[in-house]
Amino acid sequence: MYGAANNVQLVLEQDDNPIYNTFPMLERIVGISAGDCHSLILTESGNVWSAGNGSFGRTGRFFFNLFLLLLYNYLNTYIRTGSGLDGHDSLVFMKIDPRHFDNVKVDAIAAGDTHSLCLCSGSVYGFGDNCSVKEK
Amino acid sequence: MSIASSENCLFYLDERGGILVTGSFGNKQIADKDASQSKRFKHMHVYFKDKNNNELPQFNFISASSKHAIAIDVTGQAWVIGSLKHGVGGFESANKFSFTPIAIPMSPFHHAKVLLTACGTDHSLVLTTFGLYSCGSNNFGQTGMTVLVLLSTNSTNIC
Repeated sequence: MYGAANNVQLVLEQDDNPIYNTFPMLERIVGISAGDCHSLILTESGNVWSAGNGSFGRTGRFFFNLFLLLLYNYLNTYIRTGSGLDGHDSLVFMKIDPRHFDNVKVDAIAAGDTHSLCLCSGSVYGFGDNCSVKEK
Repeated sequence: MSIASSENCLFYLDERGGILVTGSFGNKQIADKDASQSKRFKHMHVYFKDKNNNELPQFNFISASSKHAIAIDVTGQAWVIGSLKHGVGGFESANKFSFTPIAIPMSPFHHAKVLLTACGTDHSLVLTTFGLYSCGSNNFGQTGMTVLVLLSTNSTNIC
């Protein structure tokens, strides 16, 4: 039997400084997944939201995110992270059009390094890098 | 029981909530830091204790990337293992790597229980009963917070 959790003291460095980001969601979140440079969120209603590097189409959205890109570049000096964005990247979580899943509720999500998979009522939908035949 | 894998490591939680691991984080042999071979599972509860020599708790969920892993114990406390760069554990630290699981600060979560975690290469997502949190590298906007960070303070929950 391993040690009870309430006997374990938190091990925190002296210079620890919480640096979490938080953000609002309008729906209850039931699943999360993270790839190399992108993130997926699954909500209770079966919608999938994505953020991050959209190259290869891994975020499931293909439009040019011009407004956010311009805003990012304009405010770049005030942002603690680097650059390297292109037009497919998303700076905030945005919903993937459910028509990509034939309007079927998504049950589960998985993010690979450069691709994403969604389980929809027994069918798997994939998007992103397909160089190793990741999609079916 | 839970299992998590990345391109170079594999974590497995056994029926007692213990962490078994094989493979490496980058060039660090997380499974057996003192040996050149890492092709066998190592039981972290046997080999590791925290800095106060306490045993590790029972875990019920783990997620992993190629550089770090985040496990959740039975009380809802999250622990980070491996790389600490870019603040993937949700805190800044002078140490950039830890073989031993480190309990991450729960104050940003308002001490709400952690339900799920997801590890990207250099970023992390943490879902709690209070809301969703992200941390780590945001060079591609993968934490989903680039714009909103500008409009709010880092540690203020705006749910």
